Formats: sequence, structure tokens, C-alpha cells
Amino acid sequence: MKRKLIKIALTFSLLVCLVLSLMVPSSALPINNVTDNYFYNLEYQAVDAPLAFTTEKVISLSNLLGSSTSTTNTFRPSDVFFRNGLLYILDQNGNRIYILDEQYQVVSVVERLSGDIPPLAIVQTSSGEEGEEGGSSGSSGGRSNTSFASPEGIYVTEDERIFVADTENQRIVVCDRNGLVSKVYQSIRVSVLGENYVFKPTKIVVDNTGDLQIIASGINRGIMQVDSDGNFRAFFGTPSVIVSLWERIWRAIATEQQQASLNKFVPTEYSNLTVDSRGFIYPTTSALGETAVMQLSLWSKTSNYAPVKKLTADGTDVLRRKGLAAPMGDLLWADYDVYPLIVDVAVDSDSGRYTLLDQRTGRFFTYDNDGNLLYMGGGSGTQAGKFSNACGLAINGDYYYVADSNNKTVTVFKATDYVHAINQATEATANGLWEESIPLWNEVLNYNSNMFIAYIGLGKAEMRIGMTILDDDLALEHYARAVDYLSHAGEKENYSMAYAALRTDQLEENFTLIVVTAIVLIVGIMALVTWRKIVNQKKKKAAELAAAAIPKITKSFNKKRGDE
Amino acid sequence: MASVGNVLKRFGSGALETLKRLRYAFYILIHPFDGFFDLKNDPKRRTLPGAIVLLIFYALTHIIRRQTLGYLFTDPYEQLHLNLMYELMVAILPFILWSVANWCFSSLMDGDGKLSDIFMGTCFATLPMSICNLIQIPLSHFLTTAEQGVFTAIGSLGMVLAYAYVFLSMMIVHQYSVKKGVGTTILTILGMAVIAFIVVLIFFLLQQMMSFVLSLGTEIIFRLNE
Repeated sequence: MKRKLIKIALTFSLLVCLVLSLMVPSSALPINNVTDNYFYNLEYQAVDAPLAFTTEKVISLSNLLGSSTSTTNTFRPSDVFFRNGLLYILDQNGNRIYILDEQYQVVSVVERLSGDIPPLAIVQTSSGEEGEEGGSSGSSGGRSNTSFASPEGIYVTEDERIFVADTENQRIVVCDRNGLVSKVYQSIRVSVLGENYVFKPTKIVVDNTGDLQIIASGINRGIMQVDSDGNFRAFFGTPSVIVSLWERIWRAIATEQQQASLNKFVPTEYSNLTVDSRGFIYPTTSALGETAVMQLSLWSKTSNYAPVKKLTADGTDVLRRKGLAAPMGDLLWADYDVYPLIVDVAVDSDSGRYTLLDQRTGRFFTYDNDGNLLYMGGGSGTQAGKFSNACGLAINGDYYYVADSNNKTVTVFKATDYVHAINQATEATANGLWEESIPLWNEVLNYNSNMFIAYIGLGKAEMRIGMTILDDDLALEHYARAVDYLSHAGEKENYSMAYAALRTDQLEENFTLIVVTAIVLIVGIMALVTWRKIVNQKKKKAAELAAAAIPKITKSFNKKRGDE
Repeated sequence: MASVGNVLKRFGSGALETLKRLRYAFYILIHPFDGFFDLKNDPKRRTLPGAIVLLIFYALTHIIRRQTLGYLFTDPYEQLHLNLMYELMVAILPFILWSVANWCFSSLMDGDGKLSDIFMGTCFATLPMSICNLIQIPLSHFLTTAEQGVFTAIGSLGMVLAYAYVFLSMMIVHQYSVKKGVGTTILTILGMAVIAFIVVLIFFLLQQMMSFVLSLGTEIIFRLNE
């Protein structure tokens, strides 16, 4: 009894020890003290990176008024757009458009609209919100159809027609750089929204077919598609609502009162959109901000909860999310609880690179066609090159323009040679110029040896070169190098391909050796088996002999006993 | 000196005997029904040290697997942050917990097995998992993602076999019917959860107590120094 007790006590103490060993506090992930220029390593930690952008110029009101005779003293940029060598800055407070050339000299200011303009058709909402907002942009009664009222979005077509989302006037104005209006879209009928919905367009683009793609505030059905005549077509790219199983069960159990207090499942609104030269539409969502949601979009790499999408004409998301993390802006939220708030996206040329603007951290992040993060710029603050409320982004090759409505500036960034190196290398890889891409990627590694994408590029290039080489020995060398590079990049898809090629070549080379070894092994095993069989048979025979002898012995033994 | 030699000799012969008996684990692998029955009832087969060796062997293969699996089949950055104690616990604790919880319930449900019987059966049942772990390690260095199916199939085969053998050994040790075996399994899993909960609870209480005593001590030291 005592022994048993001791045993139980021993077992229990062992258990406690094991649990204790688990409870040893694991050291928390270190928060690296990095500078403003950083990049992520494969463990999502920020590591220092070379400077990607230099601040070229900060455009403020004084710059804009330098050559103009206007006397306004309010300036609050809400959006920027770049087209054909001209930078368009939309001023939300001054209700005007500044048009600048590439030397940042004001070419034209659009303030008064002229031409054939229909009177305003403003729908008043029943709530007091409308009056308040109207009050901030001047008196609501004083609105005129010849000026803008708190416009938030601007888009310029190839033939330099300017589309302005004139938010508080509830219309979209099309004008040229002298303010001559060619078309006004207002009172657009949308049957599903009823008669008295308030049309407040905030962002607008015009796609290849001339259709208007509009994001309006308070509409969560997606992007409004309106044809060039002003007829509503459809909602487009409606964000899907995902309800978890647990939420569904909880809803089934909950009483009506409880259900009323639960969050309603409404799709998130889009915050901004842009269109690339091939007609793909990139909408952004900024309604994220819970760790769980962030984790989900970080790991799942699906369209659900994605901060940015790439929509085809039928509304399917084709954005490639092959990078370390899904394109979502800053990843440091895990450390700092500062969630990215993506407010704008800009697409750069035909390479498929796009840049997200994160309002929370004032940073912009450039991704390649596959969704790999390439470099970033900006920062939080009020100095030159930092932002407190970044709201608009435009790209012209090497130049990035960021509007900040709080600092009341538009900042011009210029890409450094580091960015050039990365761009050249990614483009070479994307175009399949494998031989050319190797020195380019090595150049990138010279700048930043933490750039694991360079190792992916090098590995891919080595693998592809190996595949074109007929000489096995040489190909083997390339494959071996590819495997080595890719293993540094935490990348598995290409690694697997390179390794398969390497394995095939190695097998072919050592074919005779392998076959001989296999034959020797098989023969050896067969020999062993037969030998054991023979031995066993011998043993059996001996046992049988012995067994046969036993009865005789016992018989004689019994005889003896019987005799006695 | 002589006594030390004697002890060593005894230990050596004991180890040799255990090793000899461990060969029986392979017999169990092929003939589980007879094997587990004899393991319990044949005094020539019983070996508690052998069972412990098998469990440690399983833990070893588990850890080696975690550390040396090929690049394609693991997260290389997880390998860098491997916590040895944690891995050891993950490998061993479930089987110990199972044995204890099963012993608790089987004594209520008139099972025939003692704690040592249950533990022995459970440990001998881990062998398929150990073997599959050892097969997986070299394989993972030679396969590509296209052939991942082979890798996972071997892993799941080992796991399914091991769990089936744990269940079988429990049934045979207690001389249960299948129905009763299933019932006891469910109860045992519940019991494992309860035991784990209580252990964690005790640990946290102890921690609280410790921190209280420690802070009391520092307070007193501060007051004395004033």
C-alpha cells in the first residue's frame, strides 16, 4: 500500500515537473529598434534597410500662391493625381484644383466653373449631420453650381478631361483645366437604394470603356458603375460578408433582444480605388483593425478582409498574394497595436507594381506583381517627408506624390538607386530575362543583404538557366545553386521545383551505382532469408528428434517406476 | 570497489535482459492481440524499464524529427526556436496522462489492469509512431512537395496505428469488450483534461503563493533597512 502511494506521488510530481517546464516564461519576441527605413525578415521582424526615397520637395500653400494672384488662405489637399506631366492637387477647403507642371510651377487653378452647368440637386438628409457638414464648408445655403463643395476625389483621363467627385454638392463634374464644364453627373437613379438616398461621391475613376467607377460614402454595396450618359449600371466588386460558424451558432441561440445588441454583419465600405492601364480596378478597404482580422488576412492570403484587391471586369479578385504576407501595409501592428489603415493605392506603369498608402503610420508600401513587398517610404510626424494624415497618393515613375490633409502639404518623394536596382531586377525576372537578372539581383543584395526576395530571384534564375542547359554537369551546378539560394528565402514552391530537377539529374548520374546497390541489397536480403530458413529447419529437425526421443525416455522411465 | 563493480554488473545484466525483452515489441507490432495479452500476463515478457525505454525512444524520435526534417516539410524558422522541454512534454505527457486517467477510471469500471500494466501497454503502442518518425526523417530530405502525399501517409499511418494499439492494449489489459473500451476511452480523455486542468491550477496557485512570499520578504528587507 505504502509503495503504491509512493509510486502515485512520484508520477504526480513528474507530471508537475513537466507542466512546470512548459510554464518557463518564453522570451517575448524582441521589438527591434529600427530606423525609419526598414524591411521585414522572414520572421516578420523589422530590420534596417537602405533609404528608398528622398524627400524632393514639400508643396504647401505658399508655393501654390507664389505665381497665382488668388487670395485664399485655406488649403487642405484631399487627393492628388498625375497625368501627362501634370500634377493635379484637389483642395478640399479652398474648393479648387491646382495644376502643377514637373517643376512644381502652377500652370492653372480651377476655381470658378463655367459653361452649361445644371442647377444643384441636393438631397437633404433627415439627420442633422448634413447641416453640420455643410457648415464646415461654408454656409449650406450659399452653395453655387459654379464652384466645388468639399471635393474629395479627382481623376484625369488621357485626353485631360478632369473628373471631380464634388462630394458635398452631390455630383460629379467633368471639366477641363480652364474650368469649362463639359458634363455633370447628378441625381443618378439607383433603384435598390430608394428615392431619397444621398449620393455623396468620394472617389472616382474612369475605366477603359468610359464607364465611371464611383465610391460614394455610406454605400457598402461596392463600387457604383455609371455609364458615360449617367445611367446607373450595377454595383461592382461587392465585398463579401464572412460569418464564422461560432457566430452563426451564437445567433441561433441568442434571444431577439440579444440579437439586436449584436453587431450587424454589413460589408465593409471601400475607401479608395484606382485603375491600371489594363483596366484592372484596385479598390482599398480601411475598415480593418482587429488583431483577429489582421491575422486572418495575414495568414490566409485570400480575398476575404483584404485591404486591397485587384478586380477584373466581372468583379473577381485576381490579386496575387504570393509574398511573405498578404499586401496589407505595415506588419508592425503585432508589436505596437497600430493597425494599418489603407487609404489609397497607386499603380506604377505596366510592371504591375502597386503602392499602398497607410494613413496610420504615414507610410507607403510598394508591392510587385506577385505581392512581394519591395520597399517603403514616408513615416509618421510633421517634418518634411512625414505625415500626420496622409490621404492621397500618385506616382509618376521615380516620383511619388503624397497629400496630407493635416499637414496641409503635398510631398514629393524621389526614388533612390536602391529602388531602381529592385525595380530593374523584378522587371527582369517578370519578363523571364534570367541571365540578365542575376547581376541585377546581386546589385540589390549589395544594397541590402536582408532582401530575401533577391534570393528568390536568384534561385529562380539559376533554376531556369539550368533547365535550358543540355550538359548535365553544368545544369547540376545551376540547380545546386538554385536550391541553396531558395533555401535562404524561406520559399518552397520554386525550391521544390529546383530540387526535383537536381534530384533527377543526380539520379541519372549515379544510376549504375544505385542499381548495383539495390541488386546487392536484394540478393543479400534473399540470402539472409534462405540462410535463416535453413537454420530454422535444422533446429526444427533437432527439436523433432528430441520430441521423438522424449516418449521413449518417458516410457522407459514409466516402465522403471512401474517396475518398482 | 568490489561493490561498485557488482552494481555495474547487475545493471549490465539488467540492461541486457531489458534489451532482450524489448525485441518483443516487434512481435506486438505484428501480433497485437496475443502480444498485449502476453505482455501483461507472461512474467517472462513483462518489462517496465523496457516500456520507459520505448517511451523515451519515441520522445527522442519526435525531437529529432522536429529538428532535422527536410527544408520542404518544415518551417526552418520554427526549427531555430525549438524549445526542447516543450517538445519533450508534448511527446511524453499525453501517454503518461492517458495511463493515469485510464487507471483512475478502469478501477471504477472493474478493469483488470494495474497502473503498470496500462503504462506498459501504452508505451509499447508508441513503437509504430517512432518507426514512422524515423522513416519520415530521411524521406523528407528526398521528396518534393509533389510527393508530399507519401510523407503525410507514412506519418498518419504511424499515428493511426499507435492510437489503435493504445486502445487495443487498454481493452486487452482490462479485458473489456469493444463497447466498454470505447466508453472508457471517452471517459479517459475527459479525465485527462480534468487532470491537466488541476495541475495547471495548482501550478498557478503555487506561483501566486511564491510571489506573495517573495514580495513579503522584499518588503520586510526594505523596512529593516530604513
